[in-house]
Amino acid sequence: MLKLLLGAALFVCCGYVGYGVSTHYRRRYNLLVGVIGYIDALINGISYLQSTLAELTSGYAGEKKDDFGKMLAKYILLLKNGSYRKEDCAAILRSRLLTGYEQNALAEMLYSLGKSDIDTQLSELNKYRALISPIAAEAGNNYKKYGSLAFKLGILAGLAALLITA
Amino acid sequence: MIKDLLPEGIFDLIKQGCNLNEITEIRLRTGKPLSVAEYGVYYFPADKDGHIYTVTKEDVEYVLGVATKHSVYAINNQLASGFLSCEDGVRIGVSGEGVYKNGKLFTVKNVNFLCIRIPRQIFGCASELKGVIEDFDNTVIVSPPGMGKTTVLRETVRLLSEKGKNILLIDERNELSASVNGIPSMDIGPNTDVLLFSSKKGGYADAVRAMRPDIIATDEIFGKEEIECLSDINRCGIKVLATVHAKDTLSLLKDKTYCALAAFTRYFAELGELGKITTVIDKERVKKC
Repeated sequence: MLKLLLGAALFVCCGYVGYGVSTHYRRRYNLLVGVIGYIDALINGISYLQSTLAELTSGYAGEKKDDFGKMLAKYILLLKNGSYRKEDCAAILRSRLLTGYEQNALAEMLYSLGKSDIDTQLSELNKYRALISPIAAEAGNNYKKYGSLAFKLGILAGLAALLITA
Repeated sequence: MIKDLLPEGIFDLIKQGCNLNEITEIRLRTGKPLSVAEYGVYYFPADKDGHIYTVTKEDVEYVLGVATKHSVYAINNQLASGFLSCEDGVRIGVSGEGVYKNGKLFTVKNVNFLCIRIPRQIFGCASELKGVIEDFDNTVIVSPPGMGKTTVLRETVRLLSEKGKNILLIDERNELSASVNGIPSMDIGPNTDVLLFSSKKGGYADAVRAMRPDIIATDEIFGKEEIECLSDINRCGIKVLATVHAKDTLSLLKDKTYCALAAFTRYFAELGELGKITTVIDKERVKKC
């Protein structure tokens, strides 16, 4: 009975680890897709509405509760506080879902927003879009490739543990 | 306002060396020393060791960011006109690289030079115009930049307004009234209406039709078109009080564009010293103050 309980516990643990790895790939992909969506929203908003950055960001973030939505909520607070430094932008992007390089690039982007004229701002945003797009595409491929695989491997490892202990 | 507008380090430095209530101008030039003016006298703020602070690109970006609510892209028109208006009448002159579209200045990029001007009200600075105010007729205040024309104009408006004249103040850059949400924070008198951020030309036409002022007051007449507008207003029976940049009245009237002012202006008041009218020229006589 004890062995069966141990096996069940191992099964749950392995399944949970597999699910966790799969979720990591999904969240990373969604976050990067969110970044591209935000850049697109800014490009449109700056081109046509010329609203303030806080308004455009609030309009995009809305009620989003995902990882990037939470980051943007913190960014909106920075904007409303009046002044902020590059380190403040870096702090809100600190996440295991992004590499150090990605965190730096996005912090640079957030810090640069609203600091230049319309032409320069749009060209910078397009530059960041071009930078993030292939990374997001790769994250999407990884999610498809390894996301479900990790979950299945977790379940299989859990079953194996269950069999061995039973 | 100034505290919010400046990076903390710069504000602390200025606070240490200057009287915050007397600062009239702060200049930020990337790579150059920070300079601060107290009623026209410039200082270079330094730290305790005597090191003069050098302005960085980040400092300029910070001020622009705060002044535009982090949305420089949204103020192309203001950048193209060379200044930003902030709360409390603070005006930020901007200079950088002009971007032209269809032959017109569209915006300014790579802004590296800022001139923050803080309006100050000095009661009594127009006392030399007492006679003019008693028997008001078209008046132009003449001085080079930075001598306090705007301050004297504001005080003259206040005094005329207190005499019961209905005045329309055309405040293109919110320097005269320093309005917050459209309410003047400077004392401009009880009978003064303010038209904010309107071009002089548009303001004149609307004002004559809608507000029926006795006097129209405006800052910094520039170019033939504005002089023609003032002449038109005068033809309608409305008196004019304005300022203009020039070394003195003589050099103003020697100019082929500005000599047209003489056709309808009775008084030319010259600022020979900072914030002080030293000469009032009447068409009939010259009076030395």
